[in-house]
Amino acid sequence: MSVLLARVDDRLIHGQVVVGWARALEADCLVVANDAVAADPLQRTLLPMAVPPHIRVAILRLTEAAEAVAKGTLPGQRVILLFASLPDAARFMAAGGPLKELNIGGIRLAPGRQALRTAVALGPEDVRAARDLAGCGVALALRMVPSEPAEPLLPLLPPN
Amino acid sequence: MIPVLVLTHGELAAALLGAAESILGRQDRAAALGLEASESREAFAGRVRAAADQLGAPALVLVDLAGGTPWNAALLCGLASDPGEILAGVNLPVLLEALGRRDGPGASPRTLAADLAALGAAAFARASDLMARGAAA
Repeated sequence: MSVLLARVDDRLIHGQVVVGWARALEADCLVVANDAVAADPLQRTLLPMAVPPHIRVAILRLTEAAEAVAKGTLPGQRVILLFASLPDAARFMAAGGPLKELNIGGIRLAPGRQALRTAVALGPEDVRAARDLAGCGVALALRMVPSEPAEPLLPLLPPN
Repeated sequence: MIPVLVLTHGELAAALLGAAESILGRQDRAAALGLEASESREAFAGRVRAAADQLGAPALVLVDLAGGTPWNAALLCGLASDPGEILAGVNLPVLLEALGRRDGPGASPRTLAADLAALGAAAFARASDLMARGAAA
């Protein structure tokens, strides 16, 4: 089992992920690592609904996801791992989840966040989590879809 | 009359409804919303909920892509609850049929969507196929 893509995307499973990334990477497993979704029966039903049948979907709490990735017990060989936010990715790592590269796909505008790109806006907590992750050796890069080049995130962060 | 709500990525929804209105004339109780690249699912779902409330009776929701964010937002808003329905794969022929058939007696979003799903496949026409059939006839 290998994680082909670890991505921060607050839309979680959606067109860009299923049609864009899963096809390009020939993924057979999508993992949503999110405490709120794992606890919400409606979203647990809804998110996997339109995923093609050859792709398994696992919806796990962050700590469960960290353990499953670390132990290699996910229900697929070619995995895309999805987080809703940078702080969630940092919590995954703090819980023992292995992370080398992190794709920043979508963090939409919300109160307290400043737009960095069309689909990426960061607030103070996001910036702090990004720096923490980078400090742990994670390479963070912006890239919404596979056809775009990756753009390193750190040079775009506001100065400390 | 069954309200029709078109939800897509980007400008497609407004353009589809505009194209349909250029053929059928102005439509009452029809609305189109496009998801912007910078918009969160929750923000879009808020706009969808407001539009559905404004349209009134349970609507037929036509979306571009099953599993996309417009689809997810419509489901989160409960728009698939009986007798409402969400149908993915909207295109101009399907939208034209939806707008043309929504006044029928006893029509519900569910029955209308079932009819449209059947019609949708027939909306594809290959010119080479039609020409070959014309030559054979």
